[in-house]
Amino acid sequence: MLENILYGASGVENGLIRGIVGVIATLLFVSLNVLFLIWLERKIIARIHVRYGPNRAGRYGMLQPIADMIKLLTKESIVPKDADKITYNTAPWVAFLFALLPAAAIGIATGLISTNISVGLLYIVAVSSLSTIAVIMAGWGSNNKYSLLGAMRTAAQSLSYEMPLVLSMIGIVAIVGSLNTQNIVAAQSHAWLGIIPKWFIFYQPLAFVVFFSAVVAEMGRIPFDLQESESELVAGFHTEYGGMKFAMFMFAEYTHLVVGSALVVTLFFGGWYLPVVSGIFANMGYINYIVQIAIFVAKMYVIIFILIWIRGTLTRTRINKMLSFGWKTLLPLALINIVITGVILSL
Amino acid sequence: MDEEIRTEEFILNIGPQHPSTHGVTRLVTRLSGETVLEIEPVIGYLHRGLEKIGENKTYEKFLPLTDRMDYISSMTNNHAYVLAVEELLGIEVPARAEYLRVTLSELQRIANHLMFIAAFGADLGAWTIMMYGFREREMVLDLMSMLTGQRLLYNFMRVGGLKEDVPLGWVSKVREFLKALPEKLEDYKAYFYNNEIFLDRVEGVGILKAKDAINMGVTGPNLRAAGVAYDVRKDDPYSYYDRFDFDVITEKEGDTFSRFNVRFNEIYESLKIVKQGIEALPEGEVIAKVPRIIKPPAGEAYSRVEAPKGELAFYIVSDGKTDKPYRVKVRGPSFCNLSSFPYYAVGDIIPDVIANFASIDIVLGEVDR
Amino acid sequence: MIERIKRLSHIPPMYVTFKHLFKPPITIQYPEVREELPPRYRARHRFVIERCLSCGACARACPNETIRMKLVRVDEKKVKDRVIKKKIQYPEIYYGRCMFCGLCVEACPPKPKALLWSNKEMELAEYTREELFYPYWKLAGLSELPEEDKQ
Repeated sequence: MLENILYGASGVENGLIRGIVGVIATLLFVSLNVLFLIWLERKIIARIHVRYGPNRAGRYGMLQPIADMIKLLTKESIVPKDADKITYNTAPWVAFLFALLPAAAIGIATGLISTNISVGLLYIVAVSSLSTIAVIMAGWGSNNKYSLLGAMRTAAQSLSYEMPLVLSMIGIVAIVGSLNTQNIVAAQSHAWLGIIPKWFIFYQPLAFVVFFSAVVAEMGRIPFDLQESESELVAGFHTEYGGMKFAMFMFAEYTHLVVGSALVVTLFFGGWYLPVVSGIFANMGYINYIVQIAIFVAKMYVIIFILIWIRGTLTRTRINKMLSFGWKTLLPLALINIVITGVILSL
Repeated sequence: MDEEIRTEEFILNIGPQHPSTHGVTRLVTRLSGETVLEIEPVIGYLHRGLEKIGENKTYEKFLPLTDRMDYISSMTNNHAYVLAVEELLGIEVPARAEYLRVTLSELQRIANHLMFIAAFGADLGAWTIMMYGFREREMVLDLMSMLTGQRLLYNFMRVGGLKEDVPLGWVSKVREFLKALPEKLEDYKAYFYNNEIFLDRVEGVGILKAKDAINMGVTGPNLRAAGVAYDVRKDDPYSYYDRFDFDVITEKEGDTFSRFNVRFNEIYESLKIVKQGIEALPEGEVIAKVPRIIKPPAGEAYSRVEAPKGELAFYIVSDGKTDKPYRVKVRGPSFCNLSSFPYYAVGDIIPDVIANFASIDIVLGEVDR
Repeated sequence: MIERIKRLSHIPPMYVTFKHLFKPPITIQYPEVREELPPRYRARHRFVIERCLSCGACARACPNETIRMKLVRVDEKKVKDRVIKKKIQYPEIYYGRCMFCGLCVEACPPKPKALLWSNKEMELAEYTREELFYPYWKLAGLSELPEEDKQ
């Protein structure tokens, strides 16, 4: 039964059950990580700032995200005067939904994936760019000039960073010969001399730099957090949002962080494979799953830590410099990477 | 497609409640997309009528109110005011008091510039720098509160000298501070001068040319960043500044980065002056013999000091009959620096305007008075 | 070239923040830990009743007219054959207007001063405006009006 649920290929009669389990599991995985992340980010940023960070609610302030959630959920829902009500009210849910969708095609262990579609990467790229729509909806709907400027920036940003993001993946796709995330991870499961892993970051360092920059831009985090840019646009597209709807946007933002770093791990850091450890547990059934999940989550948190660390360090870029960086630096680099990969592969 | 795409300009009110207005000012900006076509600063949200209040209070009672103009650097405000009153009265200030005044003014300058760096970082999105700046400033505030009894609004200078002598152990605390700060500043150097994103944000943004700066009455670090080596401490020395050895920091470009640079390097110069000040501190009284009721003879006095933000001047007229000034006029550096801002910020995009606005380092308490 | 790479890589700024990650926090956990304020700190006035000369110098020195002299009682003193009436008045402060400039304490003529600063009571918040008003006995640290002044 469980094997069927886990490995259940399409067309099996329990497809529906598998789908529901997959959705719930994805939602649970992402939500738990988001809750933990909110705490972790605040704590790490605080330590970089030589502060304590949250330390009142629960041990080490671990219950702080829950306290924040309760506070936000119990707040009054305010719609600004002259706002486009439908757009304004649906935008947070759209943002939440589209942030969650890419998680469906990212596995956290062999076979442990919500929907194992053959064009996984294509699907991820397609739905992740949809979240821009939510931001534009929020910016347009709230009838606020700051929000509108934030939304316009997001549109420009998304346009210029989507291209290098996609192009930087092509090298990997060419090496693996598949768009399926399971296959991509499986292709990185070997090691040189048994210790040095064959991760794609060693094959494609240039693609990694491009991809990482583009992912940070897609997530809208410092140094590319121009959609919000507190000191310029107050809070950017979610200036007028409060309470529950604000919580949805925050949730969407942290979901982007989880999904983005999971994608980085999947593509460049060998997913759930560690050279020596994976070999030991390879034939131990369920323990193998747990170990794989642990490895994946651990790698994911290393990436997340780096992202938080960057946020704690750098300043914000200018919008024009950021766009020209996307078009004039990242895009050519991604193209060069494709050419190099193609030449090497055809040799 | 014969239909033309039409775009509209729109007005954006930056402020009075906005994260980077440094208090309560409003920048009415006319935008075309992100490009700023016109800026009009609207001031007066913090107007308290300090100049008028000065005419209705005795000379001593107005002193604590001068703290409240530029509340980031209240010591220099005190300094400018007492210099004017002393000029009216013709009082000779004891040497120890003068040395301490210079030392304290420079400590104040360090605090102000650290605050500037902190706020500048926050406006560019680097909250870490905000925290570090405030942490370093806290060292100066600790020294000040040990000496004066307050952290921000000191009210320490008096007509004829200082309120009281330094407490036991203060000078050694200052020496510790002089050792500690340069080590901390190394981190700032590493942070700012090797940071492409930061440098990219500030280099070549908001260029104020020397000629325009002089014409519009810009003073202080903003003027020095444009390449004009004008510093009241050198050009019209007050207190004992002529006995100290320090350099006037200038830059050439006059952009946001130069303004940052001038302030950052002035911290080192101020450290030098503080060092000389506490080494050369003579023994003696800290306050001269001043009549109990200050009632200056009829006349007028104009005193100016190099406040951390620029040239701060007090013009006081006494009619010789009462113990209240007949007229008090303040020439505040922040006001003049802000009024020139629209002329060189126009044409940039919003992020540049914010960076530019942060770099002129104004305090609204002094703009509005 | 090396400078250029240093700038682009952002390694020095990243190192600065990484270093700080392992430094102990400098925050003072306020309600539990209280900072020791320097002795000169102007936190709140302290009034020593016995030293007060009832001269009113503090009230005159105050720029905001925060301090008012309150007539407490009239003492009668026999000097030789005459009875000299002496008005005893003590300062009372409305903290809603006080700007903590310290001119009142400076003006206090007796040595040691009757009106001085305490660096201990820095918590000045009250629940109502009325509570910001401090009569002399509250300034002196007494819980209520002293017996002798109750008439």
